[in-house]
Amino acid sequence: MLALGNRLLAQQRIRVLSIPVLFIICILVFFIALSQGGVVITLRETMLMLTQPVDDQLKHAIIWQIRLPRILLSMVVGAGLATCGAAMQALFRNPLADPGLIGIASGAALGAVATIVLGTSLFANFSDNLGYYAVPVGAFLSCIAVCMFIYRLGAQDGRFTIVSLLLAGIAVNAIVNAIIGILTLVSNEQQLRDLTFWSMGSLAGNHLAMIMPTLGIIIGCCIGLLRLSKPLNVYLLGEAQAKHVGINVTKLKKQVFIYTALCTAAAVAITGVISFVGLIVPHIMRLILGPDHRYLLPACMLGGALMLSLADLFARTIMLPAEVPIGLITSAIGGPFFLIMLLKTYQGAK
Amino acid sequence: MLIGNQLSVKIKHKTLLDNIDFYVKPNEIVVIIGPNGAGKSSLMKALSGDLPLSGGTVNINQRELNEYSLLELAKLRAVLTQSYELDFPFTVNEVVDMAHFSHQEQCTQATLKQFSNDAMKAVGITHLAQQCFTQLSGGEKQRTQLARVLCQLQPSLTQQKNAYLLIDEPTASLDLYHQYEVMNQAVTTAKQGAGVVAVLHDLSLAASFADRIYMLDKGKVVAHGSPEEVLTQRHLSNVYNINAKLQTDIEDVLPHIMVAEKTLTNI
Repeated sequence: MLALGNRLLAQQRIRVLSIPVLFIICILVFFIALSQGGVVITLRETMLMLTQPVDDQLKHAIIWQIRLPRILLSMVVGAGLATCGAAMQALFRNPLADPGLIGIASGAALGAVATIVLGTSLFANFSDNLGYYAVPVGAFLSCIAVCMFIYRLGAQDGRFTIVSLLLAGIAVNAIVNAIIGILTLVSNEQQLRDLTFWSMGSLAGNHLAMIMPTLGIIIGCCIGLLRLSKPLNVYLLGEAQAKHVGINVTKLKKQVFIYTALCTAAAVAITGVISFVGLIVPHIMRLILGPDHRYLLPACMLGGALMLSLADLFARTIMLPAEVPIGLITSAIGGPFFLIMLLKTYQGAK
Repeated sequence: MLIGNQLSVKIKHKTLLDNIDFYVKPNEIVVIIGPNGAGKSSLMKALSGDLPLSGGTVNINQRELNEYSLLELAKLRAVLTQSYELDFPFTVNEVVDMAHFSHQEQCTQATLKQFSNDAMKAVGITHLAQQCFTQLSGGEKQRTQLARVLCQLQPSLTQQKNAYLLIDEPTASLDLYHQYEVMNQAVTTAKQGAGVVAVLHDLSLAASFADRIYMLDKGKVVAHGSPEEVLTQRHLSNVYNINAKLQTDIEDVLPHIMVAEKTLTNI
């Protein structure tokens, strides 16, 4: 299996060091991202504005109301997607798994598309009441509903087997995508444009107040997943084997599924589909640190935060004053980078 | 004692185990033999709680299996299964350390680490400790898993608790040297106080190391007792359809099965 049987470096020292190093890089990127953009603000000014009141109202607003929420969101969503990816890969014992595989992401897409297309007719009440929040709330609710459906199907005989979860997920994914297709078909020009952009993902235009619930849910789920890292390691031995070592495998699988579903729902609802982060970051981290989730999951959190905030920095500065959809950047930068890592591993293995 | 009382397992209309009585005491090695499909692995799974019973009970140390939590059970018995699904690049050392999961509260990290090192030394994989599990040969993988299972039992055995080792075909992909080495390890574990249950295909190995043998056929116990009592010409002919007998009387040589030139009895 691709890049799975290999690890580049396995020394304990590198694993212990990597997390503080990643953390420091994250902090640096955070401040650099704050200072970069359409309006240039120096790093020194940025620091000043974060710590004390300043006269320059425009710059203050740019930092506090535009850039800070956006960077926070990009970091937390990146961390959430990458951690969920790693957890899903462990759950399915397959390196190609990510939350998109079993229909979690398309559950959110369904809600978003339905709210965009039917917001003026069928869901007029819903849209009017929630206003600006209608699309994210719709996406979140629909994602949770779809996940509950998959969960119920997967837990049919009380055992929650991975195969039934996977099959149920794939089937539901297909159905959901069919409904999205129908909704796309009946949408008008403006709606079509809206939903196309939603599906490419965007981190723009959110206030601090709007992203707070998302941040809370994602951070909570990540902490929940981090606490499962030891059982997840043992789970990779095999289900029967993990049970013999003393792990309640069914409970573990349910916990991972619920955390992943909630976390992905919260992320995708507000940013749209951002592909590749959940797949690539865990892979890179596993190549560097090995598969031990006690190191892998925190490293994925930091790595995901780093990747998405850097990608977003590119997305909003590369074509000023226009902006590139973030999903394009993650795929365009992530893909080649991932290939280089793979080739290096193969050369190293020879 | 680990006791199976009148174990029956039926899946749909197929009977996998039919009213089997089984026990293993501390300090002894019990071997389960039988032709393909006789129910050896099913019996093993029934004893370890992996297969729901349609009749009968399994008791460990006077308590029924389902009264234990999984964590309690993990301290009392370790299971080595036939196949491993581990495809992630853990090192050998990390795989062995997974045995610590149920003992983290009672034992210090240093003690557990020592158990891991002892177990790796015992099965001769210390030199592989930092290698990737996924890049090992079949035999090395099997020995790694055996080390993990041995390591899981050590805390209980050093506290003189009755613990049990269930191993399903531990010698399947091993060379001759390591087959005997692994069985010697089972003997050592039994001497430490564990009750060892092993499924074996190799009848000579079974005769050499078993204190008692259960011979299964079509889900039933057809013979039970010492190797001499079970591995008789009649049983071998009835159950395996081979013309063979057990030889035990050569000095300095372990018991082995002698197969006649006209091997198959049913031709």
